[in-house]
Order: sequence, then C-alpha cells, then structure tokens
Amino acid sequence: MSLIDNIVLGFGTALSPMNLLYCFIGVFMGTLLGALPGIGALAAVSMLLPITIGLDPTTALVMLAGVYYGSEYGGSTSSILLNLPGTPTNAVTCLDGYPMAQQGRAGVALFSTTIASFFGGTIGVIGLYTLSPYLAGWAIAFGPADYFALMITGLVAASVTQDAPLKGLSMVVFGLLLGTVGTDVDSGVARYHLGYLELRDGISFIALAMGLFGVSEIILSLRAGSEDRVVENVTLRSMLPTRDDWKRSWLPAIRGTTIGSIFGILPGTGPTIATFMGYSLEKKLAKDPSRFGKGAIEGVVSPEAANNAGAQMAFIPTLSLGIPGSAVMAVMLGTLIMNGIAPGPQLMQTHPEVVWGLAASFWVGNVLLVILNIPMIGLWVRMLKIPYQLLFPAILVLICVGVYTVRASTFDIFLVLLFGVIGYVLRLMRFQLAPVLIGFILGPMIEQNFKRAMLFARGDATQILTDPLPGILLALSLGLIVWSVYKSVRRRDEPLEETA
Amino acid sequence: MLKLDKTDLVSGLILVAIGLYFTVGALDYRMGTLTRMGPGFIPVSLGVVCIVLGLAVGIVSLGREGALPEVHWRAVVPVIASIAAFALILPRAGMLPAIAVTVGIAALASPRSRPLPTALVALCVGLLLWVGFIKILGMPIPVLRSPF
Repeated sequence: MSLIDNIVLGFGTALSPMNLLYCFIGVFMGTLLGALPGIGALAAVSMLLPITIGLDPTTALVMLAGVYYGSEYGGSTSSILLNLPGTPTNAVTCLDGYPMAQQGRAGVALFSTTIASFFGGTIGVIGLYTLSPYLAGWAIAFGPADYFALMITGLVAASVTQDAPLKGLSMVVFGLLLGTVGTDVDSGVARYHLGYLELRDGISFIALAMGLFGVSEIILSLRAGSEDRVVENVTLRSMLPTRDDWKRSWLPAIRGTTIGSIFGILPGTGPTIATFMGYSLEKKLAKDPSRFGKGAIEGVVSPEAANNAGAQMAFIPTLSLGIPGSAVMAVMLGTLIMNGIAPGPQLMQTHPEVVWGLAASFWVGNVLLVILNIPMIGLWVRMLKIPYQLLFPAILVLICVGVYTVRASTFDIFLVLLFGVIGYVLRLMRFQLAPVLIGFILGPMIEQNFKRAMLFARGDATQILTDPLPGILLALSLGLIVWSVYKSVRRRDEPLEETA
Repeated sequence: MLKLDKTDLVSGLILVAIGLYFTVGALDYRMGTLTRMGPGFIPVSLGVVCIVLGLAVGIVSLGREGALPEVHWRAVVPVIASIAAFALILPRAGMLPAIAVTVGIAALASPRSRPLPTALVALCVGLLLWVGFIKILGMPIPVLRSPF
C-alpha cells in the first residue's frame, strides 16, 4: 500500500467517533494523572490499562497512546509550576520552566511547551508514516535467528545504557524469568505455577505493571513527604508569548525535534536522553549560556519538542519490528498480545488498520492536546493543589478495582501486592524497573525464536554466530555490555549519584 | 576496615536468590537437547545467568563505600495492608465496604491524613466507581453483599 493509502486508512480509523471519543478520554485522563506529582507516564498507562479491556484493539491502543502523551504533557505542567517533575523526561523542563514560573511567566512557559510538543509530535508522526514501512519490509524476511538476535540487541540496548549496566542487565534477566512462568507452548508443561490455576496462564501483565510501577511509586512518593504546595493561578491572557519569545523559540523547537527523532528510534535511549541532549545543545549554542537555569525559554522549548518527537518515533521499532524500546512501549505491545494480535514486522500487513489508525491518532491526539490544554490549564493547575494524602488512597482503590475487573480474580490483586513489594525493594536497591517489563514482554518471543533457530541449526550454536546479521547483532550487544561495564568500573571511584 | 557498598552487596544477594529459586524450580522440568529444547532449558540457563550477574554485582560492590537505604515502614505497611484488605473483603462483603476499609487503612500511611477528609475520599471514590464501573460500564463486581 502506498503512503497515501496508509494515511487515508489511518485517519479514517482515527476519526471514527468511537476512536475519537477514546482518544479524547485517553488524552484527558492522561493529562489529569500526569499533572499529579509522582505519577509518571508509565504509572498512568498501567493504571488505565484495565479500562481498555473489551475494547476493539485499535481503540484500546488509541486510548493508551492518548494517556501516554497526555501524561507526558501533564508532567511538564507540574514541572513548571511546582518544580516537581511528574516523569523523568520532564526533569529537564524544571531547570528553566520553574524559574520562568517564579518570574510570573508560567503561562508563557506552559504555552510554549504545548506548541513545542505539538510541533515535535507532528514531525514524529510524519517519521512514523514514512519510515516504518521500510523497516517492516526489511524485517519481514527475518528468520528466527535474526529475530532472536535483534530482540537480544534491543534488550541489551534498553538495559545497559543505565548508570549501572550489570544491574540493568540483571533486571532484564529477571523480566525474562518472570516471562517463563506459565504453560510452555511446546511441551504444555506449566512452569512455576506454585499450585495456582491462575499462574498456568502466566503472570498477569497488568498486575505486574501496576504493582511494579503503580504501588511502588505510591510508597516512594509517601516517603518523599508532601508539603503544602503554593501554586499560582494561570490565566489565558498570561499565556501569550511575546514577539521575542517566538523569535527565541523556533530554532530550538526544530533542533529539539531533530534530536528527539534520532534518539526515539534507537531502542533503549528513549526520550529522556533526548531531552537532556536537547537542553545541553541549546546551552552550548546560546550567546549567553548564563541565562540557562534562570528562565531561558529555549531551555523549555527544545527538551519538550525532543520529548514529544522521541515519544512518537519510539513507536517505529515497536510497531514495525515488535521490539519495544521502553517500558511504555512494552505495555503497548502487551495490550496487542492480550488482544490476540502478534506484534512483529507482519503486523502492517495483517492489521494495517491498527498500525495506521494508531499513527494517525497520534496526530489527532496532539491536536486534542492543544485544544484541551490551552483553555483547560486552569483545571490542571487546580489538580496540582489536591493534597497527596487525599489522592493516594483513591489511586490505590483504582488500582485494586482496575486489576480485579480484568479477570474478576482477587488472585491478581494479591499479585499486584507482591509485585508492589518487589518493585519497592528493587527500587530501594537502586535497580531500574523498566527493563523488567521489557524482558517480560519479549521473554516468550525470545524463547520461541531461540528454540526454532536452534532446531534449524540442528543444535549447532556456532551456525547462529556465523550467520551475518545475527552474528553482527550479537557481537554488537556483547560489545555494548563490555564497553559499559568497563566505563562503569572506571567511574566507580567518583562519588555516586543519588537516584530517587 | 573493609570498604563495601552495602546496597550493591544486598542487590547481588537478591539476584543470586532469584536465580537460585528459578534454577532449582526448573530442575523438575525436562532439559532436552540443544536441538530440541525441553521446557526446563531456558529457565535453567536464565537462572544461571541471573546467579552469575548477582555474583558480579556483589563483587563490584567491594571497595566502594555505601550504606543500606532506609525502609519507610510507615508508608510500606499501611499500603500493603490496604491492598490485602481490598482483596479479602471484596469477594465477601462487596466493593463498597472494601473501598471504605482500603481508604481507611491506606490513609494511615501519611501523617497528614485527617479522619473527616479521608471519609469523604472513601465516599467519593465509592460513589464514582459505583456509577462509573457498575452503572455505566456494567462490570460484574459485587457491590454490597452480606458476609454471613
């Protein structure tokens, strides 16, 4: 199918009343949750996941995608107004966004984030439409060995780029191990079911995501304490940027988008790194770098554009290869799998309406985000004033009810509890949790492809390594591990950076 | 004195424990051969990798100073108890009592909670979920039933 056909199909799907409605619900709920301090995009997406049960898979994904960029946007609101980044990707926005708010320019900062996000998001959607068919076309001829090697590379890239490569890698392995729970497809043997019927189907992906990210997040936010927050009111009039603001902003928006697009495609790097890169690039290019940190609009625009462009581009490997670059993308793939749709390069042929409808809905969602956020900013600001002690019991109930509705099983609520505790302990021990979810989603696929590859190779592992593509990819992964371990060992004498 | 990062040492031990659990558990399953792998092959291999990584993390922790993080029991215990309470009460007494108890227990996690606002939260959440999930979406959740 040509690009035009894809766009027509995509927008036809995205603009159907049902999808439009759920896109709106998703963006609205996402912004709402994202604006609450301490709830990141991942927690928001996992909490709202149960609502999508029973929906058409396209509609479910459209809604979740809406939640994703809605919460990214909501996070920037709390960064600017409270200096509390809702998501790690918004941390950079605090640097200059909060000083702008202190100078009474919160409205301008919020407006320029909306516009920069919209610009970055639009370019990201164009990239998604034009690039992903080529990637999928290239990957469609992959054999099990190629696919296995590609997934390994994706997992390694997503985990070892963290500060502690060994701990990141071990979290991937933990995720892969969790993925082995349940009935083995080849032999029908139920592994690690501990006598529970529920575990024969495997660990509930929703319970895992909610426990690891939702519950542990709540416990950690409670530790951080909740002081009274003073939030200034933002009026529509105060949002209009001056001519000087526009002049300063347009180039950073383009540069931020470019950086975000490049980093978004690469698995594992994701938008967070892109936002930091965008910020430091602006600081280097500025005539007067000392303005940064004191309310420079460039320092808000570039990271926000990078963030949204990266968020859209991250869907390219997810939709065209079936390899999630981040935990949110893993949730998206998990939703597809729950609906009985196998992700991978064939997805564009078997379910074009899902891929292109979702891609178009990104743009529709970005439009909704602009329409929603400019007039409704007052509401989000009021949301920020809700004290946390009233909020978190309500969130806990939502998690419990949500996970129960999926299978009408209280067993899953206990699973949430278990993974909440595991998630909390692991985070205390300075482990990153995103690789667990990515490993969990890819685990069964890796196992299948590895078994098949070894069957084709008649048990000769060297055959996989000498095949050009798998050989190069696996060597690349090994090189990446060795290099980052070497760097982290060299760095260990320097003082440790505290991670929250 | 021996310098070591206690957080990383414990991290390593946790990983070794996870790896051991899965490896030992998988010994019951058939391993198979490299050509035709049985259900135990992948879990055992991954378990061993996990143990090795745990040992490596533990070794790297030596020679670097670091204390153990503090567990915030005041937040952990009520949050866990409130989730458990929900799971236990829901099938016996229904959603509304479960919500009331869960919100009540969870509120203990924050020193800033006050009885009246907490009760209001429970009421609002109960009402909202009753209307949203049961009246509008028609989810099969028991609302209120006698536990006896």
